Amino acid sequence: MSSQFTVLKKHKRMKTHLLSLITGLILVALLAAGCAAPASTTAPAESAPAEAAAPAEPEAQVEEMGAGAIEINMWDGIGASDGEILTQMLNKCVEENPDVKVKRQIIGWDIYFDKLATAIVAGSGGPDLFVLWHSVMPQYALTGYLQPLGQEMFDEGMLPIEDFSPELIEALKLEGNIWTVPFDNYGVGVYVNLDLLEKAGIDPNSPPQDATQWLEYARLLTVDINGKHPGEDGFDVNNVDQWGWGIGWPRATVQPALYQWGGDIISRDADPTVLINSEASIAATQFFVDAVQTHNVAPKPEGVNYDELFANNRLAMYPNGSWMFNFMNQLDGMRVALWPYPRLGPERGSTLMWSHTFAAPATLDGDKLDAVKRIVKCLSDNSTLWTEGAGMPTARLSLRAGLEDKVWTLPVFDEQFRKEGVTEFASTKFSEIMGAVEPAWSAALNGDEPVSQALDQAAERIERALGR
Amino acid sequence: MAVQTDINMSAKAQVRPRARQRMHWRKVMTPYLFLLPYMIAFLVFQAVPFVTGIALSFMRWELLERSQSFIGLQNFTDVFADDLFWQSFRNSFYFAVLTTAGVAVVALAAALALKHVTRGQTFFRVVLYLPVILSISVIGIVWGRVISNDGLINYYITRLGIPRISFLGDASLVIPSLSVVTVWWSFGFPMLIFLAALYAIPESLYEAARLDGAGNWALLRFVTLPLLRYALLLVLVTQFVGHMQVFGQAYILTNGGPGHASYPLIMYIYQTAWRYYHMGYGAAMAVLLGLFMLVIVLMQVRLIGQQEEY
Amino acid sequence: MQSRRRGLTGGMLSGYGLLLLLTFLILFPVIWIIAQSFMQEAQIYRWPINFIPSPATFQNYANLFTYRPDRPDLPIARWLFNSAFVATSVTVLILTVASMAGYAFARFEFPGKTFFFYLFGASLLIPSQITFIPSFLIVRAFGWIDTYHALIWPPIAGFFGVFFLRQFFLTIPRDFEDAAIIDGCSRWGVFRHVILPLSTSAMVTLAIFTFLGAWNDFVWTLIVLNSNEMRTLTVGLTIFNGEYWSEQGIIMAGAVFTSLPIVIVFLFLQKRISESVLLAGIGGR
Repeated sequence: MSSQFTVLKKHKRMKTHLLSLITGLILVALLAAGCAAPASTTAPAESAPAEAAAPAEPEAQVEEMGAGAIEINMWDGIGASDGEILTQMLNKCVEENPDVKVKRQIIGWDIYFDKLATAIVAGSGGPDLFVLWHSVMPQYALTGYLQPLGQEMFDEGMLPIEDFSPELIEALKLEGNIWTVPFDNYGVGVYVNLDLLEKAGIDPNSPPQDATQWLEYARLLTVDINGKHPGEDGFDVNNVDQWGWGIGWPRATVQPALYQWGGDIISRDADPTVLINSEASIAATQFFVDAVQTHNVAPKPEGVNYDELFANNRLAMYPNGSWMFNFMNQLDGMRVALWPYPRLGPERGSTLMWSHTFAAPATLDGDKLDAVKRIVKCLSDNSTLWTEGAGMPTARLSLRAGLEDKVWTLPVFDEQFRKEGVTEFASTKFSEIMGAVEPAWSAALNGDEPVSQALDQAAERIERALGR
Repeated sequence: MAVQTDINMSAKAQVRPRARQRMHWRKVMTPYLFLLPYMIAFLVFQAVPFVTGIALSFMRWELLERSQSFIGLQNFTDVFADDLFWQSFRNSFYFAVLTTAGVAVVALAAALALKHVTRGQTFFRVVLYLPVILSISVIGIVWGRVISNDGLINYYITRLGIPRISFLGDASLVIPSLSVVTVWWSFGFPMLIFLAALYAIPESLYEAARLDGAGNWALLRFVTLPLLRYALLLVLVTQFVGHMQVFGQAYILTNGGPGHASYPLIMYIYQTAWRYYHMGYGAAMAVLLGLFMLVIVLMQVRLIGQQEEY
Repeated sequence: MQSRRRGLTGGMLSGYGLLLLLTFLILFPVIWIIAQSFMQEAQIYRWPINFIPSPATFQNYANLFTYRPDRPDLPIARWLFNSAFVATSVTVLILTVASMAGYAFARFEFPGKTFFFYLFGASLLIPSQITFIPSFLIVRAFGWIDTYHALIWPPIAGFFGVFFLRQFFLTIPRDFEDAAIIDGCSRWGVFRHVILPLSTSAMVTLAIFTFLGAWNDFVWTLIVLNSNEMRTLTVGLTIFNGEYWSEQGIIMAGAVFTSLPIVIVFLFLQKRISESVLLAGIGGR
C-alpha cells in the first residue's frame, strides 16, 4: 500500500506542482507589478510589499512643504486649481517660518466631514490644522473639540479683529468665544454671457432690479431651435437651444432667495425654529419652480450639466459662486461678466455668503499650537494671493482694496456682500439639515412633488434632527 | 495494523484509561489549533462587532459627543417613526426584488442556452461572466455614460425621434434603471451555478420524459426546474441578501436622487453614522435590516427548500 | 451533451440568439468605453456619438500617470500598488487561515464542532451592516484607520473560504492521510504535505474569488481609508470620477486601466472558475 501511495503521490505531486508553480507565478507577477509601478512616478521608494505586517504609517505622498522640525498636519477639501493656490501660499508661509513643516492632505468635500469627525475624535492621527466651513463649526465647537483659535489670535494681537467684517465675526462667535479664523468670505453672484446678452439687446450694465425685469430678461434670453421665445406661439420647450437662467446648485441659488421673501431654513437663534416650510420659504421656492414649469426660462434641473451648457453658449445667466473664477477665466473666446444676485422677492435684496475658516483641535498645545497660529497668520496676511488666484474674496477687508483690477469678480461681490450679504446658517446639525433640504428642493424643482409637500417633509426631518 | 485500529477507535468518544488521556487531550487540542487563527479573527471581527452592534443600537452614541448613554428601545421607536427610514427601506426592497428576479431569469435563460449550444460555449461563458469581475467604480463609469441624459441609449432613442428618457432623473424610472445595470453586472455568476446544476441533471430523465411525449416547455417545467430547486434557492437567497444591501450603484450613479427616490437603506445608515454622527441610531437601523433579512432568508429556505423530492 | 441531435434545432437557434444578444449587450458598452479612452477630450462628450477614435491618442493614459500640479490627487500607480498589495495579502491570509480551519472541520471530531460550525455559518446570513459600525470603531481603537491593516485583517473572519475548503477536503479520500499517518507523519505534516498539494485547484479557485473580492471592495475601503495615497483603485477612481467629471478621457482610461489586471488574470484562469463552481458544494451540503 505504501508504494502505491508513493507512486500516486508523485504523479499527483507533479501535476499539482505545475499548477502551484503557475499560481505562484501569477501571484508573484501581480506582486511584482504592484512593486514596479510606483518607481515610475514621483512616489518615493516603497518598502517590501510582501511584508504583511508592514508598519501602520502610510507612505508619504502627502504634499509636504518646508523642512522644519515642527510638523503640522493640515487637512482641507480644496482641490484642483484652487488647491494649487493654497499650496503656493503654504510654500510661502513655510519659507517665512522655516522651523515649520506642513503636511497637507486634500480630502474631497464630499467625504471630508465624514472623515474629519472620526479623525478628531480618535485623538491622534488627525489634523493639527484644518479647514471648517463656518456653517459646521458649531458642531465641533460645542462638543469641545476645537481650540478657541480665533479668540486667542485676536486677543494676542496676531490678527486685527477690525479688519474682518463684524457680521462674519458675529457668526463665528459661540458661547463668547471666536473658535475659528476666517480665511475668506465668498458667495453667490450671477455670471452672464455678454455675447448672448448683446444678441438679445440687453445692456450688460443694467442687471435686473426686480422679478418682473428679471423675467423679461430671462424670456428674451431663452430661445428654442426655431428662434422662438417662451410665451410665443409655437415655442417648443422640448427643443430649447439656449436657456435664460440655470437653477444650478439649489443650496447656492435658491437659498439666497429665501431671505428675499423673508424666509430662511432655520432661524438664527440659540433654539432655532424651522422656517423651511414657512409661507415665505415656500413662496421663494415656488418662484423657481414657476421659472422652470410655467415660464420655461430655466431647464428642469435633473441631468443638466450647467457648466457644460454655459461653456457652450447655451446658458445666458448662470448663478454660481466665487469659486467659479478660474472656470470662467478658462472659457476661451467667451466674454463673461458678473452681476449681483438679483432681487427677486418682495422684502429685500440679498445674496448668500460663506467662509472657509481655519480650526485647530482642542488637544493641540505647545510648539505645534504656536506653529499653527503662525501659519494661519501668514495665510491670512497673504490672502490677496487667494483672491487673485482663486477669485475668493479675502476676509481681510483692508486687503481687498487694490485688487479690484486684478480680480474682475471682486467689485461686484465686495459691494453686494457689504450691502446685503447674508451668511448661511450655522448649526450643530448642519449636514443633517442640508441633507433634508436639498433633496426636497430637488424634488420640487423637478416637478416630482408639490413645493409645500416637499418642504413640509423637509421641515419634519429637520425637527427630528434638531430634537435628537 | 494495531496503530490503524487505534486511530479508528479514537474516532469514537469513549471512556479512556489514564494512559490514553494525554493522547485524548492532544486529539482535542489539535483541531482547535488548526481552528485557532480563524477563531481569533472571527471573534474580533465578527462576534465582538455583532454583539457590540446590537448593544450600540440600544445606546445614544453621537460621534462628536463625549459621553454615551443607554436609552433602551428609544432608537427603535424613533426609527419606526422615521419616514426616511421607511422610504429608503422600500427603495432597497424594491430594488432587491427587481434585481433578484431579473438576475435569476437572465442567468437561467443564459445557462439553458449555454447548455444547448454545441460550439463556442467557452467563448460565451467567458464574455457573459466578464461584467462580474469589473469593480463597482468601473460599472459606475461605464453605465454613467450609457444611461445618462446625453448617453448612449438616449443617443439612439433621439435618433428614432423619441424624446429623451431620463433614466436616472425620473423618480419612477430610477430604481428599475439601477436594477438593469445591476442585472448586467451580476448575472454571470448565478449563470455558472445554474449551468453546473443543469449538468448535474441526468440525461436519462429527459429521454424518459421525451418518450412520454413531453415538449420542450414541459421538459423545462417538469424536469429541469424542479431539479434546479437547490441551485435556485441558493441564487435567490444570495442575490436577495446581496442586493438588499445595495450601496455603490446609488452612491455613484444617482447619489440617492432624484430627491430620495433611489436612496437605499445602506446609504441612509452610512450617512446617519458617518455624516450625521448618530452611531447608535445607525446601529438600530442595521439591526432591523438584519432581522428583516434573516426572516426573508428563512422564509425562502422554507418555501423552496422544503419541497425537495427525488 | 446534446450532440446526439444533428444540426440546428429550434432550441439551439434560440439559444444562440439569446447568447448573441447578451454578448452584444455586454461588449457594446465595454468596447465603447475602451474606444473612448483613446479619444481626445473634445470627441468624448459630443453627439453624434463616436465609436472610432479619430485621431486615436494615448494622451489620456499618459495623463493618467503624469503628475500635474493643479491636480495633485491622482496617484494612480500608488493606487495600483495598494490594490495589489491588499488583495494579495488578503488572499494569502485567507488561504492560510481558511484551509486550516476547513481541515479542522473536515477531518476531526471534537467537542463543540457542530456548535462552532453553525455559529460561524450563521455569520454568512447576517448582513455586514450590523457589524460595520462596530468593526469601524474596533479598527479605529486599534489605530488602524487609514492603514493597510484595516483592509487586510478583517476579511479573514469571513466564513465562505472555510466552508468552501471544508467541502473540498471532504471529497479527498482519507486513504492518503491515513497512509501518511502510518508512515509517522504528524497531523500538521499531513496537512502540509498531503492535503494542500491535493487541493491546489480548490485553493486556486478560492484565491481567485478572494482576490477579486478584495480588489473590488468599495464600502469598507471607503469608510476606513482617509488619505488619497492609501486608496485602492476602486475607491480612488470613484472619487476621482466624482470630482473631475470634466476630464472624461482620463476617467475612461482609468476605468480601462483598473480593469485590465483583473481581466487578464480572469482570462488566464477562467476555466478554473467555472470548474470551481461545480466544486463549490452544489452537489453536497
